[in-house]
Amino acid sequence: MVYCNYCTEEVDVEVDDANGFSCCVQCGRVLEETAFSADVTFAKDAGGESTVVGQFVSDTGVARGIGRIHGGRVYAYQADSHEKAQQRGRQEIAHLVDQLGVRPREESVESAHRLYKIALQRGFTRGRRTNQVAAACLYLVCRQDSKPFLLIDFSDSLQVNVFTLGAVFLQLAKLLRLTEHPMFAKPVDPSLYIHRFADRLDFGRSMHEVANTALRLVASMKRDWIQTGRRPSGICGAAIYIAAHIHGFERSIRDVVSVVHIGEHTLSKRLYEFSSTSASLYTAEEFEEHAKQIDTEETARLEAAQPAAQPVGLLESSGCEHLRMGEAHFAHAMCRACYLEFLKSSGGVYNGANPPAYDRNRKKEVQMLALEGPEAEEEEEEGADAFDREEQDITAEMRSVFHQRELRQFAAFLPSSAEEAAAEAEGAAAAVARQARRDKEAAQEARGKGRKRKAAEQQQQQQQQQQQQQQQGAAGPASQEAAQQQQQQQQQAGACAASPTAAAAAAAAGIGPSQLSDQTGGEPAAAAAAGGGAAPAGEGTAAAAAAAAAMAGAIVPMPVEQDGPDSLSDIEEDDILMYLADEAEVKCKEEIWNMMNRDWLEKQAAKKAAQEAAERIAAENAAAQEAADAAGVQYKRGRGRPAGSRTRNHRAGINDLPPAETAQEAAMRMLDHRKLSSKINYSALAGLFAEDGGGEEGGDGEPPSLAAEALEGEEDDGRGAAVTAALRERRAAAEEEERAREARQAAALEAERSKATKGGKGRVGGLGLAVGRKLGGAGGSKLGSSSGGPLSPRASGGGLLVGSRRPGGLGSLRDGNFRSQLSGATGVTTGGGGTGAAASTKKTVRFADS
Amino acid sequence: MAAEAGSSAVVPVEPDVDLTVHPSGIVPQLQNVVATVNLECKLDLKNIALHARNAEYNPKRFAAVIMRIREPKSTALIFHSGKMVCTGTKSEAEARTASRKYAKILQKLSYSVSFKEFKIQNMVGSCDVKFPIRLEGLASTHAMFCSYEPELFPGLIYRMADPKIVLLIFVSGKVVLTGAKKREDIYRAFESIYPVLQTFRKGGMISAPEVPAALPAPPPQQQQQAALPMVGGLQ
Repeated sequence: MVYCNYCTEEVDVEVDDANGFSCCVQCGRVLEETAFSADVTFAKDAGGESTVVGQFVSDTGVARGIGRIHGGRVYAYQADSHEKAQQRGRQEIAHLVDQLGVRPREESVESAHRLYKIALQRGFTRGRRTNQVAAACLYLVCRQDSKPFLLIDFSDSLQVNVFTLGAVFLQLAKLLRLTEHPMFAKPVDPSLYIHRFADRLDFGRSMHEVANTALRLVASMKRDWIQTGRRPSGICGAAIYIAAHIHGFERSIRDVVSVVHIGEHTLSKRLYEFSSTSASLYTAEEFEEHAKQIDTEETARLEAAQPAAQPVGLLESSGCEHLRMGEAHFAHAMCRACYLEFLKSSGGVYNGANPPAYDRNRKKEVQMLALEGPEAEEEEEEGADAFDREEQDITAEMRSVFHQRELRQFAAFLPSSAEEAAAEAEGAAAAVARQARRDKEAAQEARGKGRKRKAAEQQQQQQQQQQQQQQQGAAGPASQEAAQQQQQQQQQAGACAASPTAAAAAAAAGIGPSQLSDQTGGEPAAAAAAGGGAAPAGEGTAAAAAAAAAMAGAIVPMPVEQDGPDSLSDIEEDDILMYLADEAEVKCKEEIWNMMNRDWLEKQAAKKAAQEAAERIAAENAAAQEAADAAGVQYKRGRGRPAGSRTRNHRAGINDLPPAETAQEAAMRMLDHRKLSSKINYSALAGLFAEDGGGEEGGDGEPPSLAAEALEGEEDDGRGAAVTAALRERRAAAEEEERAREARQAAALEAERSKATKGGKGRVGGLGLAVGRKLGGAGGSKLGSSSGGPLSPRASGGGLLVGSRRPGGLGSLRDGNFRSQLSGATGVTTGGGGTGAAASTKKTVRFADS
Repeated sequence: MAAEAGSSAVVPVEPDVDLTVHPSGIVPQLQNVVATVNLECKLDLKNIALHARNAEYNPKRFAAVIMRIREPKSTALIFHSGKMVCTGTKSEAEARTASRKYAKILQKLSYSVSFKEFKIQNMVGSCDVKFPIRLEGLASTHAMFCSYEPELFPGLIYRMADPKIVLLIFVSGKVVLTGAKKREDIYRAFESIYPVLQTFRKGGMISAPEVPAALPAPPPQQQQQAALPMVGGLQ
């Protein structure tokens, strides 16, 4: 009894099994019609044949019609291309799974295939190799299930670069939004791989012991910071190597390398790094004991440790999903379980040995200081006189600055003794600069190279200020003012160095580059800036600084915010002239350049010619259309790509030709355009040509057959070699022809151009036919002349290329390209005459050729 | 402030660093600045390649003239369209100076160049925090921003959301910051990552050896960490 909505009561139902519906017996309404059964049933049709009832639904969820079985053949069983693509991925995955021995097999394939399907759906497979995407999917599954397979294993079995595969993997993870998944956020623990590698190294019964020792070694390496930032395979390799030797297995580095897939040198480096940790000093027994001791200590410490206060804000971004679910925070934005895992997988942040890279950096720093320190001092002592001289130079330079016209107005503001005061200030500035230099070097020693520049700059500033203050006492009011100005400028300069985008960038940048340039650069710049400060007492400090900086050889950039056009006139000419070549140089360079880029230039010229031709065709077509419109005839463009089409034909070489007439010709063309496989039986091939074309040669203008030629010289045995030789000859001939072709190109173009203009007019008027005939005839006549003599294959090929072997030219119309170029105004499919102008230059040349 | 938080290796705070801008006491050094400029003038690259001593032009390989100058040491790619890319300088001012010098060279070759749309496109900075960093920990606590695949690259790639900067963090404590258009972005990014790095520095652990095993309360350093600012602009 079923409730019927219409009868509003419980009713009996009539169930029709065959049609899969049930209906109310009272009102007759269908109550249910989607009944289906998973049982396979068969039904007999009128002819007494059994057929399967229903549809086959595969695990992909796509129902497709199962074919009737007629005489044992299944048809209508074709999967659509989407399904095929899915299946291809599955095959690749299954293949990889088998190759790597991923267990459990079916589940891994299934889950990887699920990922693959999503990837396929999202178009991720487009433009990528199927096997790489499949490998990325499988690797994701391995990562998820903590299966001990590395990316490099996949790259090994696919024979692709591991970084290529890695890129695909990362992109896929991003596409599937798995990068934020805690599973992938946690880096892989290298100890995961130990058992797999140990298994492959054939340790027999003591495999587990070796693996356990290796695991302890890995843990020790983690504690000593060797593992972070290193490939897991290197770490595992080193650990297994040592463990094997501890347990008395003589495995060479080479053996280990072949299993873990890492460079021999890398492995030795890991071993060396381990040997420099304290753990390497233990004997095997001591090491085990020590490891155990550390384990117990760690546990005790962890038990005693109290959870730390939770950092603010880290929660949302944390890789620990438990925290987000309300688990108590333990340390480092992780819950206790996650923290323990982090501790286990990475060794925590304990004080072990320093990471080797860190130690190296510190050592480098120390070396740098040791190198720099004494040298600088020596230099200082030796160069003391040089400094004095330099000082004087600078002083002189600065004096001359004051005499410059634009600065004189500022000098007027100074008291009468301005020059003297300025000179005094200069002297002080020079002394300051010298002092600053010393400080700079001291600062270098103290801080190392990285911050030297900054430090020196700042110190300079401080020192200068001090000196100025001292001087203020001694010097008169003028110099005091100057000194103040100087100080201001220095401050400005300092501020600008910190944020050069500030308004006073001009002054700062004037100092900046020169200081950056070299060590001594700082001095003149500082002195110059100081000089600039000493000169003016009023406005225009920037201008003064600019002038002064220019004196010191620094470049002053324009202010950052500029409105008017930049004339670049402030850049020194001498600087620029240095970079310009003189006439002789240019000539020399041009010759070399032209020689080196000859092919490019030729290509460029050809391109240009082709473009011009295309334009001309377009114009002609347009004209033809117009004419057709005017005449009231419908214009037909003909077959092929439109004139302006940018799509290139990949098989341009082949498609330039008219269709092959005989199978032999087609085969020869194919041989021309394709690489020859090693799997081809060349003697058989030669035989093929000998039977077909050899006999007819020369009779009706057929090209001399390649095989025939080959056979002339050699007997059966050498057929293959003969074919190769003949091919080589053909290729040489082709090259020769190519060269000749290029040489003729310009002339041909010229000729063609005049022809085209004629033809263009003519075609509309119906003259195209004549042109076509003429050309076709020319081709034919050439062939006629050549048919008798023993032609080289390429020479006859030349005839073929023209497509004019068929006399008259109408035959050549089979080629779509040819016809497409013809004017349709007359409605006559005229000969190949239009083609010359229409086709690419290549074709044009061939016509001219014939 | 943060620099003193470390218990073992103390980063010396330089006296001359502005601590309001660089609370860490470390100033990332600019390593490379890439700038573009529009010269608004069609250029004959072959002509340029022939007339400049410092230019190379290999049209088969790359469709731009590669020009170099010594001061400021830089390289420019000059395109036919009149656009130019200047790379290799160490500061914004240098990038500008260099670009203008290139423009001037082209001007000398009698092109009527203008100097428009000068823009810094990328800045790369680097520094050394001078303590080892446990990248695994950083990767698992900042999963959203991090990518750490030791199989592919030894450093941790941290994509900060605000400022939008990519940081490469290495176990040795060296940090490379890239993708900045402004110097301030680099500074800001470093200052926000620095406390996070402190969390995973070597020895900076609740159960670090200097802390007695039975210590009931977490060491003060943890308190410090509790007040860490959020990194990555997730607020």
